[in-house]
Amino acid sequence: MAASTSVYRALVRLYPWRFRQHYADDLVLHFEDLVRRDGVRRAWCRATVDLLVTVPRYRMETIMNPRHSSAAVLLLIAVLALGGLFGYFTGFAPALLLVVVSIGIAVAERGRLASSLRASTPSRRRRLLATSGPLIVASIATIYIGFADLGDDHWSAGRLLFYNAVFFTLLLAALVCGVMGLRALRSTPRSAISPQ
Amino acid sequence: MDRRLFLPLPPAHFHVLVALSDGDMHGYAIMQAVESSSNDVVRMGPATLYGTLKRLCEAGLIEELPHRPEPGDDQRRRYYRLTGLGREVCLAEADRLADLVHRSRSNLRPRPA
Repeated sequence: MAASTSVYRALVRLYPWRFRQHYADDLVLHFEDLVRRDGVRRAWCRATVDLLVTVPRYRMETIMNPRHSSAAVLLLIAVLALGGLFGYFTGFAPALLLVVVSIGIAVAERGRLASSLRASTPSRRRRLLATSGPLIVASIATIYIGFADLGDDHWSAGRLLFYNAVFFTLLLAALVCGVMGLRALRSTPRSAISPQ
Repeated sequence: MDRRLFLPLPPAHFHVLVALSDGDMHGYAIMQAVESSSNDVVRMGPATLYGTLKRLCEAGLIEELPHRPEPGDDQRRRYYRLTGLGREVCLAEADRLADLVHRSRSNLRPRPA
């Protein structure tokens, strides 16, 4: 039983820090009670299913917690996307997966990203509008390079997917920045956004 | 706070509230009570149970007891108690489910031709 408890205690470390800090001892105690009542095998069956279901769920809830900074999400997306782009251009095809993952996170986190883009200050609105310009240029450049590249004979489905993914991500980001900036601009008195 | 904001309760939350309506309990006793009241249909793992307890505490439906109700019990055990709001919400959910059962019975009962 001591070995089982030690293994379970080690697995409890998979839970988010805050949850673990408060409930780690209770979880282990609960597991010991289960072993005492149902035997090692049954207790492990229940604990394994429980771990498989709750670890990803609680981890995801921690990531989605509004208390966490939206900057952390943006940073994660940027790191994954840049890692994917770098890997792809250096000839590592599965790096495309990182780009797809970063897009997936951006879609899953769109609510928080949108709320972080809702500008409340004039300077932030200007930044949003200023950001949308380069993003549109980058998306157009991507589609141009994509067409030029696909004109060659050696294009692949992966490459087509890659250019589409980059193009639509940039275009989506440009539209979000532009719309948020324009909406904020329209709802603000002119005097409030005039340069100081 | 308006208790209707909490309805409908997730089944696991309702089971825990029903278990605690019988008296103050620690986690393992809550699990046993839930299994007993559901005829072993609802079986919660340790983390599922403590995740549920955490949510209910955060919502103010239950609270941790600062002391151990039973002096001889393991000092590591944490006891939980239903709050006034928790009792109201549990009752409101029971009424909602009773109404649902009543409606379903009256709808499904064969009507005279």
